[in-house]
Amino acid sequence: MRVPFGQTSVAPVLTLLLTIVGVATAADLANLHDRKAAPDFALTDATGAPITLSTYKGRVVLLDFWATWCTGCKVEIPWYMEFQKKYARQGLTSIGVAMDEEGWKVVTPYLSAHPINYPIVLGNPDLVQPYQITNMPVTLLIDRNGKIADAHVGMVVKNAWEKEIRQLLEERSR
Amino acid sequence: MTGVVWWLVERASALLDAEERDAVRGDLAELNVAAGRALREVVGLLVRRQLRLWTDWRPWLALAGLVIPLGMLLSLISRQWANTNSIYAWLYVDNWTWSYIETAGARHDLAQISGTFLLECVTLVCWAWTLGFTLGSLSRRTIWVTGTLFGAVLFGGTLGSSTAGLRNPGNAAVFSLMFYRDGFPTLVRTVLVLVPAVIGMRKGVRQATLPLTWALISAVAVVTLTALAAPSVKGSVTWGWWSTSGEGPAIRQLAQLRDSWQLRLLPMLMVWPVAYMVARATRRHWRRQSAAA
Repeated sequence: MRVPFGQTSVAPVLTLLLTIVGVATAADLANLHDRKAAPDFALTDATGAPITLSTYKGRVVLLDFWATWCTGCKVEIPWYMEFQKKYARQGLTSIGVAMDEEGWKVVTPYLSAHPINYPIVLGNPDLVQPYQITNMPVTLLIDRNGKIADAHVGMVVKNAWEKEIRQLLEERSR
Repeated sequence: MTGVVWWLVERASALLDAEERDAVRGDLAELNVAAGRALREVVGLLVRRQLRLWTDWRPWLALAGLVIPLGMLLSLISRQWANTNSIYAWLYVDNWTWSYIETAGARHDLAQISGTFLLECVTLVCWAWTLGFTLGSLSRRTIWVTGTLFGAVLFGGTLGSSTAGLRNPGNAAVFSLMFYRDGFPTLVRTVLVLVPAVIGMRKGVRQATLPLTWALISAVAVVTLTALAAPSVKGSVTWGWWSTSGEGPAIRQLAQLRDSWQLRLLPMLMVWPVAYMVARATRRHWRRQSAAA
């Protein structure tokens, strides 16, 4: 069966988690003072070049956790490519974190067939807890101060997400 | 009001055999009975005639072998496929971006998803038509009852249950829209299952047996489509029959059956109407051959 959004069996657990941790499911930016710092990571891209999240401070970061087995995740990537093209100059950086357990063995062929205009790094299980990756995709918007402005489990609404990106780009960094 | 009742009498009596219909209409006119009584008489006669028809084994075979199991399966499959394709329709139609056709890989994904959707549409139509034809052929004179029951199972079989996709909070953006939550599954069931099934029923009632060549072509098409759709049929039962609370399968035992041989054989059920069609066509073909010899 095609399961566009990842593993459906985690749905009940996810519902519970969403209730407990209060992850935003609606496309709303968190209040400036309520935002929490995005857990930092240092990962490598397909060429082995290191990518550290904290180095993007001063830019708005769209952080997308995806996997090659998650059809819904893959269909969303072209939206983020469009955002990257449209808003990179204004300060947006998209970063894709592939969570495939098989690693570059499955991610590299996918990237060869589907060139992506923003950096893709390989994730690891250490990211699951801090970023609450209970289902795929998980998408975050991180403001210019490195704080999480919105976190969304499941598919986002493209127009609403773009509106939030524009809002964040207009915010000044402190 | 009387006009409406007489119209109902007219419609109800149309369900009787031609000879009996003319006789009944003639009697009603001769006796100059009131509209209400005429309706009662005609409906009573219809019920008695139907009950007599149900003393034969064929309507029961149609009911137990087609209407209930295949109607239920089509109900589950059509809802599950509608739900899955709702997600893709939402992603590609409601949230279109030109990046979807910029790279060869993205174009390939789009083509693959569209192709799968079209294949599922054709599969549903073929299953529904062959089911309808066999139903019409098996229960020609009881088709109004078996056909109506098929419609009831198709639309009511999944009441009180949901799908895993619909219950997944990750898909909330899609299923918060009424069209994708309720409208699209109803549309799929009506256009791709009910309509072809009714067309098949009409054909089955009129013709009963297809020419052997056509029966064989139908069989090849249905077997091929069923083989292609087999994994999805299994998934429609395990993921497409979910409890409304989202806590697991609507029937708990289904979770244990997930990788069982019984579930793997389930798609074979969709083939039996066309197998019946081929068997009937072959029998007629040999009879003709023997008669000619």
